[in-house]
Amino acid sequence: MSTVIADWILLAGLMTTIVTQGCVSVQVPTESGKPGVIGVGSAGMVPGTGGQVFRIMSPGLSLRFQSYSPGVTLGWQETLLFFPSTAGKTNESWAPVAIQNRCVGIGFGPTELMLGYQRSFAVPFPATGKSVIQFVSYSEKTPTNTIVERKEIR
Amino acid sequence: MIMRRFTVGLLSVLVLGGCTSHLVFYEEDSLGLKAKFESSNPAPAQLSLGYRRGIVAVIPQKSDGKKPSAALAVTTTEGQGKKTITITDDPNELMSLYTLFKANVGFMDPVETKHFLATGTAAASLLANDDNLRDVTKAFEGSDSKKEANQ
Repeated sequence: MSTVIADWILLAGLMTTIVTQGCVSVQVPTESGKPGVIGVGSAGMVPGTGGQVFRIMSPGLSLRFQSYSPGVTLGWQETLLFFPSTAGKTNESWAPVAIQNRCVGIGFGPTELMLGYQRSFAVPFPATGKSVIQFVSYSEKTPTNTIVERKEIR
Repeated sequence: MIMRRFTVGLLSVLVLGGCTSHLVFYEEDSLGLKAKFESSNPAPAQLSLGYRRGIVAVIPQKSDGKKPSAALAVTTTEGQGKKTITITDDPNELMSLYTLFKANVGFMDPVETKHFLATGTAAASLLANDDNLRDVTKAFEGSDSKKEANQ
């Protein structure tokens, strides 16, 4: 029985290696609050957005241990984190005001399984009891027009 | 080319005890097979095949819900010929929330998203003033037409 399981694991490993052509990456949280990528993938600011949009791209097999889009993807995965222009300049934390995920292929999340294409846009809840006004405007076609603003009313 | 474009506006000042959320707005598109599970059940709670689009807006509480309190506290005090009524807000009451969302999405097209959010007293003051609300909506639409003009 254990030989059969070992064979299946070996077969799955071989298939993954062939399909991903060595494209394997792991996304981990970092102290700065922005996820980092180990392996084949990229993490950095989107050019022309004034440092307000952080993009993480992972082709092939992607293992994500960061909280913004945890899970595993076999195919292609992209996460965009939108930070307000004041982030890092004031005492406010580096928490993103919005998160966009796109994924093509096979995806496994903590509570879901996906085969095909998926895109999601989420806005996290501002801290409890706070009065906040925020605005996010982003276009892939014209990233230079990106607006990410957040203001707390006391 | 598949183009989807919509605007969602929400205002809610409701009472709901014991509900604490960490996500205020969620929108998703999917094409293909998708199964969603609940933590206590191995069978899929939701199964979709083909194209699916969903939007969820959660109205957060004013507090984190850790301190239990009466729904609404009204106290009356009398003294020096005056009667004073004090109404204390319920910290578990839901916050005021106003949100606007617009998206252009297509499987092969560049994605465009816009989202405006006001919570708490910011939302209440915004909604109390028609002119302010009109300005916000106009600015939301205006930034779109400005972009189109630039292209």
